[in-house]
Amino acid sequence: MTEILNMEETFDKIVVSITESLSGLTLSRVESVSASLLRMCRIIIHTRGQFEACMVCEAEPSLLQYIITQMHGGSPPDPEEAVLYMNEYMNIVCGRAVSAVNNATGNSSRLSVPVFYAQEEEFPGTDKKEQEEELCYQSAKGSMRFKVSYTLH
Amino acid sequence: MEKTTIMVVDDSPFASKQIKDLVEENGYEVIGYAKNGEEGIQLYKELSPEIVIMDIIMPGIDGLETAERILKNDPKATIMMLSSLCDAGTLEEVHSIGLKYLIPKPWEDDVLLATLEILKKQRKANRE
Repeated sequence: MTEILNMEETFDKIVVSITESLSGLTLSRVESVSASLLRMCRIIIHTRGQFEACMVCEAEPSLLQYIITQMHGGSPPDPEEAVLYMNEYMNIVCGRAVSAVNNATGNSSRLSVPVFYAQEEEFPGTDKKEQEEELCYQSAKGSMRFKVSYTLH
Repeated sequence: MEKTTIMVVDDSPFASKQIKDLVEENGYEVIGYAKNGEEGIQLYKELSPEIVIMDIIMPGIDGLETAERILKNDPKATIMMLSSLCDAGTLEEVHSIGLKYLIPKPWEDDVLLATLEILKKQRKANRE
């Protein structure tokens, strides 16, 4: 299936286009992001089905804050709603990416509800899968890294 | 003229706010929100909205199961599904429970409004 669908290209196009659509922010692909910047917030989503995956978005708080402020019309959402906005950003990015995978495989893998981890929270890590893609981005508001670990059954 | 009433079932305040702003500018009235499926089923019984806009990926029971349960109690319920998961298989699942429309997130405003208009007309025709 990977010969039909280029997973890295698929996720890259969707991360960039959805981020731009929701926040107006341009993400530029880079080789890597500095390890020191990776004391970041994390949002994680799993899938179940033929495309069994764990997707993690690691981002500088300033970048996520900018995205959700734009999603909220230019002013920051209430603190108690901020995490739900971040989760919705992740849900939309991953949902659209998994939809592309589902259309290519002819199956319908399903998404979990996103879970957010703040900088100071311990992150439980991810299950080992057969393949992994890592997509790193820079923007005027901070850096972001998407990790997609997956097995296509 | 009486406004068509809408209930939104979505755990995302982003989606709920966007939908409210859009539809209320266009002649609809949002009369209730639910943050998950269980709340949605209960609120539907209490409010009897004319149209339900329902997310699929939610904590607890998902939107497809929630829609199925609402339709079991009220086979004439008018429901539009909304999701970032918008592939052919998910659309088939939407069809399999007797619903026609799945709007991808993020949505195009004109597509969402056009779909609401179709549902409004279908509902009116079904009830006449």
